[in-house]
Amino acid sequence: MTSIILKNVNKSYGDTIIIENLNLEIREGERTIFLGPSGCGKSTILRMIAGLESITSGEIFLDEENVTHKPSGERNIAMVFQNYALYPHMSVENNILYALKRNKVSKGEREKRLEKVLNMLELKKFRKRMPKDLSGGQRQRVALARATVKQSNYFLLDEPLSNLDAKLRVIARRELLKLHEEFKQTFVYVTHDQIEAMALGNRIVVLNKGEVQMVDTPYNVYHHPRNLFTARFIGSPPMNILEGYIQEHKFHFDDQTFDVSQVKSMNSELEDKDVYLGIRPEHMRLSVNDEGDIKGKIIFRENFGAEVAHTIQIGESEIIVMSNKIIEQERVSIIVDREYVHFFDKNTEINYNYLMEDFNEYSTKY
Amino acid sequence: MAKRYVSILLLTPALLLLTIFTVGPLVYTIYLSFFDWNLISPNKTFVGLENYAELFKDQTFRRIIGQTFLYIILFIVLNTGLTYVTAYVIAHLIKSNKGFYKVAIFTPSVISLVVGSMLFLWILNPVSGPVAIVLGWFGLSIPNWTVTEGMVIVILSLIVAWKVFGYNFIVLYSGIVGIPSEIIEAAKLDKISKFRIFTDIIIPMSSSTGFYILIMTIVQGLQYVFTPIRVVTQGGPNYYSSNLIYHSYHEAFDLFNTGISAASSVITLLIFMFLLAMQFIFVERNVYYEN
Amino acid sequence: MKISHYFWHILIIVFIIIAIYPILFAVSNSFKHLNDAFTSTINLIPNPFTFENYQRLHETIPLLKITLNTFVIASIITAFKIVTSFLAAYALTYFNFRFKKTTYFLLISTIFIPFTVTMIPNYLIISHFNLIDSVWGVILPQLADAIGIFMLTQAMRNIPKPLIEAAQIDNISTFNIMKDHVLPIVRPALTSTAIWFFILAWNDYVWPLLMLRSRDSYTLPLALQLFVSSEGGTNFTVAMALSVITMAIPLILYLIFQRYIINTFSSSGIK
Repeated sequence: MTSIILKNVNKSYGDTIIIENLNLEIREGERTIFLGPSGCGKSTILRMIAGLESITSGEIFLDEENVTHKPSGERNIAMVFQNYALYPHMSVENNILYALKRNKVSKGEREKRLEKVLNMLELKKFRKRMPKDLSGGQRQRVALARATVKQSNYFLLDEPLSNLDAKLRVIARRELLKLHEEFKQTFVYVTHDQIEAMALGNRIVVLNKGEVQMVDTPYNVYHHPRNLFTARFIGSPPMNILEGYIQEHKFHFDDQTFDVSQVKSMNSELEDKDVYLGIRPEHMRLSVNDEGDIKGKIIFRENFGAEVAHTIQIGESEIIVMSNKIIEQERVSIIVDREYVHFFDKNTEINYNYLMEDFNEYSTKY
Repeated sequence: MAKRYVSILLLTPALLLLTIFTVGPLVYTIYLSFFDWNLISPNKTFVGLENYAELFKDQTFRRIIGQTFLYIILFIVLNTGLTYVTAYVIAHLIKSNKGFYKVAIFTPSVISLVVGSMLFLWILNPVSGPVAIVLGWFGLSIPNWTVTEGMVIVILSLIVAWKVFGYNFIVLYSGIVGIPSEIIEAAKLDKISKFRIFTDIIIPMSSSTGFYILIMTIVQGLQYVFTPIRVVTQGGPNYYSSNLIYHSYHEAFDLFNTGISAASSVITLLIFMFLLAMQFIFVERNVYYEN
Repeated sequence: MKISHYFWHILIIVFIIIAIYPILFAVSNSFKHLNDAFTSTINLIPNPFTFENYQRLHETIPLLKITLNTFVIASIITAFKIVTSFLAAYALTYFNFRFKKTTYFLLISTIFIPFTVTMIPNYLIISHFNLIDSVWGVILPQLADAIGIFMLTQAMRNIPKPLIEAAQIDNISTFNIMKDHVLPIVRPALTSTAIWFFILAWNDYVWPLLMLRSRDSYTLPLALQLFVSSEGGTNFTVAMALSVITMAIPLILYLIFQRYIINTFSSSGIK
C-alpha cells in the first residue's frame, strides 16, 4: 500500500529551481529515509509533505487524498523538528498535551496517551520541568513524545538526532525503532548521516540537487548503487572511482590495465567505451608482491582501529584500500575482487548492472 | 592599573553631563518640592510636605491623576495592543510587500509632533476638515472635540499613537520574527488557530520585548502627549486634557508655582520609577524564555 | 483562505493610509491657494498649483535664520551625543571594572526620568549663565543621552569578543582597536543612532519652547506654533508650507537611511 505520493512536484524560488519534476511513492508503515548532502532538497521535500512549504506545481497525495492545497494543520501529520521546536514557556507535560488540548481531545484520552508516552520514553520524572532545564537528549525525547501523542499515521522527522553527540545518537536511534514497532506509522526521516540511514531505513531515497538518485533498501543502496553519485556518496571511505576505457576485456587507466572479463556487467557492448570503474575499499586486498592487478605506492595510512585505510597513488589517480593491519612497505600491488566491480556509463553515470536485462532477479528487494 | 584609568576616562564625558543636567536637577527638584517659591524671588519658604498635601486636596489635581491613567490606558490599547496585533499580522499572516509595509508604517515616527498636532487639528476640524466632509456625506458629524471632555483625551492620544505606532511596531515586529520559525510551524502542523498561535506562543515568547514596549509606551507617551496638549488645547477645556506632565509644566512656567510643580513632577517620577522596577523584575523573572 | 489573505492586506493598507495621509494633506495644501484649500479640501491635487504660500512664509518669518538655527542645534547635539555615547558604550562593553553593572543600570534608568523633573533646575542653570534665548541654552542640557549609550552597547555586544581579544593579544592600543575594529562594525548602528538623534533634536519642542523667546532664535517647530492659533484659518496654507519644510529633512533622512534605521531599532528591545 502506498501512503504518500508526490507527483511531478516542482519547487522554485524565483529563478532558482530547488526541486524539479519529483516523483516519489512512500509505502505505508515503512521507515523511509531521505538521504543526501546538505542543500539536496531533502528537508524541503519533507516540509512540502507537511504543508509547511508550498509547491510551485505538481500534486501531493496522502492516503490517495490530494492534499496539495490543504493547510498543514488539516493534514494530520506529526513532525519532529531538527531543533525540536519545544515551546520554551511550557513544561514538558504541557508541551506534549498542548496540541491535544487545543484540538479538543477529551481529558481522559489525553491523560491516557500522556502516561503511555511518558513511560515509553522514560520522561516520567521530567514531566513538570521546563525545556531549558533538560539535556539535549531529554529535549529530543520530549519532541518525540509530543509528535507521538498525536497518533497520526504520518511521522515526519527532520534530522532529529543531528544535535546529539555520537553516543546518545545510537541510543536515540534504538528508541525510534522501538517507537515505530509500537505504532507502525509511515515514517519519513531526513538525514545526511548514512549510518543513521542504513540503521533506521526500510528504504532509502538518495537525493542530490533536488533529484532522486536511487530508491531502494539499504542493502541495495550500498551494494548496488544505481549511479555514480550514489556510489560516491555511500560508504566511508567511499567507493573508489577510476576513469578509463575498456578494450579487449581489459580496463585501461593511467598507464595500467587489468582484466575485467569476469565482471558481471561486462559484455561486448562495453568494448571500446569510456567508463568509470567503481570498487569499494574493502573489496580489494593489498599484496607486498607483484601478484596484484594494479601497482602503486602507499602515500597515506589512516588507522581506524579495526581496519587501516591505505591511500595508494597510481599515476594520477588515488585509491583507498582497507586492510586489517598496517602495511609498512611503500611499493604494493592491489588484488581486485571482480565480483564487486561496477561499471558506470561515462555520460549518464548509470551503473551498467541496471541496464542488464536479467538484473531484476539479481537486485532482490530486501 | 592603566586599563582602569582608560575606562574612567571613556565614561567621564557621559557621566559628567548626565550628572550635571539630569541627576543633579532631579535632586534639586525634590528639594524644591519642599519649598514655596515663584522661580524669581530670592527667598524660598520651607513648607515641608505642604505642596504635596495641597496637591492631593485639590480636586482638579486628583482629576488630572485620573486623566493621566486614562491616557495610560489609551496608550496601552493603541500603542501596545493594536501594534502587537499589527506586527503579528505582518510577520506571519502576510507574505508579500512586508518591506514596503514596514517602511510606510514607520514614517510618521520621524515627523515632529508639532506638525502632527497641527495637521490633525485641521484634518479633524469639525467644520471644514476632510474627515468631517467625508462623514457629512453619510449624514454624520464630528463633535467639537477640542472642547469636549473625554473626547479630547482620546483624540490627543490618537495623535501620539500616529507618531509612536511605527517605532513600537518595528521593535515588536523584530521580537516576533525572532521566535524560531520551527516553533510556529510545529503549532501550525498541530492545527492551532491563528488567534491561539498569537495568544499561546507569540505573546509569551516575545513577552520581554512586549513588556519593554508596554512600559516605554507609558513613560514616553505621557511626555510625548505634552506637545499636542500644548499646541492644541493648553490643557483645556478647564484642565480636562491635562496630565501630570503637562500640569508640572503649567504650574511652573504659566503659574510660577515652583513648589507645586516640583511636587507634581516628583509624583510623576515615583510612578515612572515604579514602572522601571516592574520592567526590571519582569526581565529578571523571564530571562529563561530566551534560548 | 484567499479571502482572509486579502483581508489582512487591506487592514494594513488602511493603517498605512492613516499614517501617510497627514503628510499628503500638508504637501497638497501647501501648494493650494487659500480659497481652493477650503473649497476643495478632499482633492489632494492642487489646481491651480502655486508657490505663493512659501513666498508668504518667507515674508512673514525669518525662515532661513530659523532653519539654520534648527540645523545648528540638531547637528551639535547629535555630534556630542554620539561621541559621549560611543565612548561610554565602549567602556561598558570592553572593560571590566567594579560597579560596571550598577553604572550601566543607573545610566539606563535616566531614560525613565520625566523631563518635568529636570526642567526647572536646568532652566535656572541656563538663565544663570545668561543663555536664555540662545541656541546654546537649547544645546547644553542635551549633550549626553542614555539612549545612545544603550543603543551602542547593544550593537557592540553583538561583536564577537574573540575579535577584540585577538587584537589585544597583538598588543593593539585601545584607541586603535576602537578605530580599526569596533567603529567599522558598529557604523550602521552609529549612523542610524546619529540620524535618530538629529531627527529628535530637529523636532524637539519642549525645551526650545522654554529657552527661545525671539523669532530670530526660533527653531522650525516653534515657528510653526505661531500659525496654530489662527482659528479663522487665514494662515492655513502658509502653515502647511511651514509644516512641509519642518518635516522635509527628517523624511529625506529617513528615506535615505531607512534600512539602517529599521534594522537598528529592530534590535533595540531591552533584553
